[in-house]
Amino acid sequence: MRRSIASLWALGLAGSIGLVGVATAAPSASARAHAVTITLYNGQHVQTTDALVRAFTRRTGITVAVRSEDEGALVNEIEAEGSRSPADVVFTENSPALESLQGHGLLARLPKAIRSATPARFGSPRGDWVGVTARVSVIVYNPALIRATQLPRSVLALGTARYRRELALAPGETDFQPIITAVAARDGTARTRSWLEGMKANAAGHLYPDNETVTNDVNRGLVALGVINQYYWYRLRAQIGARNMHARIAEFAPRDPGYVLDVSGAGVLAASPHRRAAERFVAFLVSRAGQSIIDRSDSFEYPLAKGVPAPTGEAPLASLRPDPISIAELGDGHRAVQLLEQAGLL
Amino acid sequence: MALDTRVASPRAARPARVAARATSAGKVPPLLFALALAVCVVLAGPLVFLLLEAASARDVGALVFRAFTAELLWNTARLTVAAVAACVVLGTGAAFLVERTDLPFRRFFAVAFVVPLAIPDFVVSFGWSSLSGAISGFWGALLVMSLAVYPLVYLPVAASLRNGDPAEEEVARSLGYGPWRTFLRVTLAQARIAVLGGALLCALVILAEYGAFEMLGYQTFTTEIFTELQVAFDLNGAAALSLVLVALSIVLVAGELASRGRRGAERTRAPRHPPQRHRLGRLRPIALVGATGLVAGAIGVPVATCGYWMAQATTAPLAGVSLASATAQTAGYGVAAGALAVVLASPVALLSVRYQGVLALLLERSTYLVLAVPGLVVALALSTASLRYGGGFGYQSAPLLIFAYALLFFPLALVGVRTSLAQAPRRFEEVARSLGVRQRSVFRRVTLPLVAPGLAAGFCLVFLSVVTELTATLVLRPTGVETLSTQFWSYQQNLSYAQAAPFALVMVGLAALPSVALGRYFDRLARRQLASGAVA
Amino acid sequence: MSAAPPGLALSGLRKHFGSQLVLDGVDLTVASGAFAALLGASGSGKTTLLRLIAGFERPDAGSVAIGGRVVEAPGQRVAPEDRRVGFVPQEAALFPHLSVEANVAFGLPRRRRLEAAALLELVGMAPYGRRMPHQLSGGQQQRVALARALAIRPALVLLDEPFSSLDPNLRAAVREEVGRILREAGSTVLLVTHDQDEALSLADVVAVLRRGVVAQCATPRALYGAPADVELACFLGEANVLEGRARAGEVTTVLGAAPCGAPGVLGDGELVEVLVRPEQLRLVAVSDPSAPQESLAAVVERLDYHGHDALVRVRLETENAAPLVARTLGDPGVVAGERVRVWLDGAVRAWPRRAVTTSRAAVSVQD
Repeated sequence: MRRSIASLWALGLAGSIGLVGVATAAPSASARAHAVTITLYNGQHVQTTDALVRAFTRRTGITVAVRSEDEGALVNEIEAEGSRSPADVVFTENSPALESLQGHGLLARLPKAIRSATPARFGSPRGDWVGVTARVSVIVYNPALIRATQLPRSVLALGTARYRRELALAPGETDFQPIITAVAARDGTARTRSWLEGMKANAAGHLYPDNETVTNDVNRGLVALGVINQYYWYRLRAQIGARNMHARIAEFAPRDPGYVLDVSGAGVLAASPHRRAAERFVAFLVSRAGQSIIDRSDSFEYPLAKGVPAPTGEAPLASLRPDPISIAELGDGHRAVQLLEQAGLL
Repeated sequence: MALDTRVASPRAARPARVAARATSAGKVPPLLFALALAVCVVLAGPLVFLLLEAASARDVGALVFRAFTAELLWNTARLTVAAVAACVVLGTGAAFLVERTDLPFRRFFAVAFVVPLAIPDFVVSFGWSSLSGAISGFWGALLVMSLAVYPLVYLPVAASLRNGDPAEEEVARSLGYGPWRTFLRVTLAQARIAVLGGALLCALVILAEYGAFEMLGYQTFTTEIFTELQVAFDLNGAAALSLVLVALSIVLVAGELASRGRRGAERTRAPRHPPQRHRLGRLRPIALVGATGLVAGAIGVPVATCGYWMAQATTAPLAGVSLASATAQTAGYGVAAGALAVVLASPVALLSVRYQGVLALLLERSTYLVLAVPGLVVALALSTASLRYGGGFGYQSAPLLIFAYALLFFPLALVGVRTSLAQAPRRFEEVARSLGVRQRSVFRRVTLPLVAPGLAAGFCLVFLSVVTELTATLVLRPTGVETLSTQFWSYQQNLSYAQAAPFALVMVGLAALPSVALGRYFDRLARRQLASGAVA
Repeated sequence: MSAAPPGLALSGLRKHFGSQLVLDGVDLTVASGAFAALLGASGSGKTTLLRLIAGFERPDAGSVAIGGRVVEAPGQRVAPEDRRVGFVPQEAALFPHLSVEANVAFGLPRRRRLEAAALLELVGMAPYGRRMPHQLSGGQQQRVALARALAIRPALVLLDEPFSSLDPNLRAAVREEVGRILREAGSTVLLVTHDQDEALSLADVVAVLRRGVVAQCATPRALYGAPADVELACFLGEANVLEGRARAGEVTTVLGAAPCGAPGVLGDGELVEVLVRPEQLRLVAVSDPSAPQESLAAVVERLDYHGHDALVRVRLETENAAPLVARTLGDPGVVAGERVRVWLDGAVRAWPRRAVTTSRAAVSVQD
């Protein structure tokens, strides 16, 4: 009695494992059809990556398996994976993520030819990753709720009671951390913390998961203003059409710590078994062809290669007057995270 | 002469010893016990891992015991309490209307009230929040969660009301209770265990919810755990925070068990006739409007919003996997996970149904703990464990994801398998054998046909949960694979609502099929029990 | 002497669950073709015994033989499916997923499936073959379960309280019909029940199971008239148990001297317990001249009228008298409070008085 039921159960188990096999088989079979497949851990927006990946595969015949997630999660994954990481290339939105990987020795040194494609000040000081695009932080505001003249000149003003209940904030956005680091570099930890606490109070009820939501809700008139990177505004406009755009963007005063240039970059994993192919992908990202694709895409980020213009309608990169904080000073962002935790924003 | 005159009725003679119930067989077969134990150990794995991970976290104390934690706890607690209360009111009210009143279109509502089960919380939240930006924060979360989760109360309460013994209500009426007091004191008391069980499920779901709150900008423990991982790159910290959540959930589960055990409201006999329906009279239009409103809010808004966004032309379509490929992928995962979960659940269910004992009960109950762990945490535990202890075996592979699904939804499969085994008590097998039929044939001719619908029900429950799962899928899916929910999520995150909408609709459709089938199965089961109870 | 082996022979069956001893050496022999009833209070181990016979459980010790074939003995075991035991469980246990006809045909080999119709005919369920079990009433389900058991031409039919779940009105009719069908089928039958009416009226032989052993096995008449002890006497029907003194084949009680049967020889002057069935007590109104000389004066305390008979509780006008219960046929013609004359009619049964009297309710007339 029991034995036959046990064997039946074993049969069921085998059957369901077979089903697991079938459910798994489909994608890997199609992937095997191509000669080389590299895996891209993509912390960049899919808008930016999609067109690049397609063009690269068309050109080289190398397939790219894309794993898109928040850059923080990706860095965490790679650090957990260590030498077993399936990733060949990592492409992030901000420099701290790459600096963190570099600090753990997980990235391979890039050939000089790739590094020199974009200006050195936008790349890794050690040379393990290269800058691909840049964005600049701006104020997004809804003129129906706040007049342009009432906007702060400095990001520090956003922590004052003047902006109570008017501020939208996405504390979990990695785009926000460079601003914190910049403030902390200039004004020290204590002042930065009280500034963050002030912002938290001002943003009560308007703490959002991401900058897309900040932009969207400012545009819908739910909250007066927020701090975003400029391209969120352009993307929203592309999504919903110019006539539906009620929000506007404004710059902070030149060299204000709220006025930060965020660099997005890419690197090759030290453990990658496909280093040649991976380097070709990174090289493509910073090549003229790749940079032009970014320029024409719906990404609205600044291409960094010389001679590739800013996306249509945006101020040229060279005309910007951001806080002069360097990539090295921005570091791996752990100080910003600590400050966010201390202020109860994380 | 002393008189010793006794008149004894035969029934007054009581046996000195009460024999053990012959039907609950004594010894548990060791093989079965070993299998069930193995399954339970596997299920406990993520919890144990979590403990280890949290223990090795640096500054756990600093992270867990700070003002922000209290804030999150407060956010989580008040929303859970409010939303569970709302779910209890909505679910019980809806069940009462359908099962006990002359509400028009009852058969339609009986199905429509269950369908929200198939709509992921984050799609309900998408529907409402894209309708109006004002739907956000605490009130938005309360609205969305109440509408998305109330079927978890509705289902058990409806079943309990359907099977409830009308005799008790009739007695109450005869003792001078009005209809309203009878409802409160008797009908609701009968449904008490069902309400409690449903409320517990609601609370657990709300505790573990991520997508909907993320969209609504409402911070809870679970959203913070996610953020902790994404921003702070801190698995130990996330594990420590998860433990708070797990502790909270264990308190809930234990509380529910304790309050259930205090008064055994088990019915001793089957009802002789179906309960009577109350006439709503002048309240009928109001009830109809209420029921329609609930359906409109829980199904109408999300589906209509999806339709609206699909009709909008967009200038910037994002690339992604095709709808067909995501559907096939999702369905494949659902089928495999459903089968695996049912197979894993069967030894535990068999043990707990056929060999009732303390050990069997403990084993069975221990598996419910997995309900208390958010899917995200289970996923992380699995992926980290595979890297750290498994040499990367199964990492980012579909089998690991499917295994995670099977773990996460194991309790659902267990419910289904348990129900089905209860449909096939051992006496049927014994009768069959006494009729000269061999073991193997008994299984094929008696046990399997009796058990199959329940197994299918367990399978369907797991399937629909897999289809609508988001967080574990995000963490564990193989690179390059998108399911309906992850593709929806990625479009939604980029505000590409028009592209997100069809994925939401297909997801709802795929999940709705089994949930309608489930509703019909449990309905038939109840009817059959009613019919066979009527002759007993 | 008889050549035919017994239909069922149990010897020394023992079974315990955990620390509880349920069967403590059961011996029972049922002649081939006989209808036997196993009578016991609920929890006396009846169902366990049945399950041992059917082979669903294994005994700790003892043996079972069906129609002369040993099916259970130390080191020897015949699987349930090979015992040819037709089992009719409590609640019928029809397979819920099969039609009535398929239920009956369940144990039949394919080529004999057509016999199901004849069996349904036999139990009077021919028109219901296509129904599903849950569409039948309780009595109908029982009859189908019986047909299903008979289909395999069983050497032995086991009935586990098959009528206990039926309405009282229905019960008598179904019981009678089942009895008829089984007698026609000619198989050996063992009926398990806690209802002594059922056992006494249906069976050729009744075994009383008490505390894990068969306390007595006899024909219904012998069992009722000459129970082995006082406890059995009380178990098998209403009883007045009086104290008495034996002398030369007679006992003297408060009711006077009466001829007496006893399991053994009673010593002269020995204190005894005397069983007086209510129907052995006669009573008439005090004014009625038909009362015999030796009748005693009593007062009616209470009257339980049942239509076909009545139970009358009277108290003798003697000092310290405990009440007695008498049964009269039809209307007793007296009312509560009325004075009557009471006397004992016929032989009684007596046992040597036990050292410790069992503590049962002194007076309880129920039903």
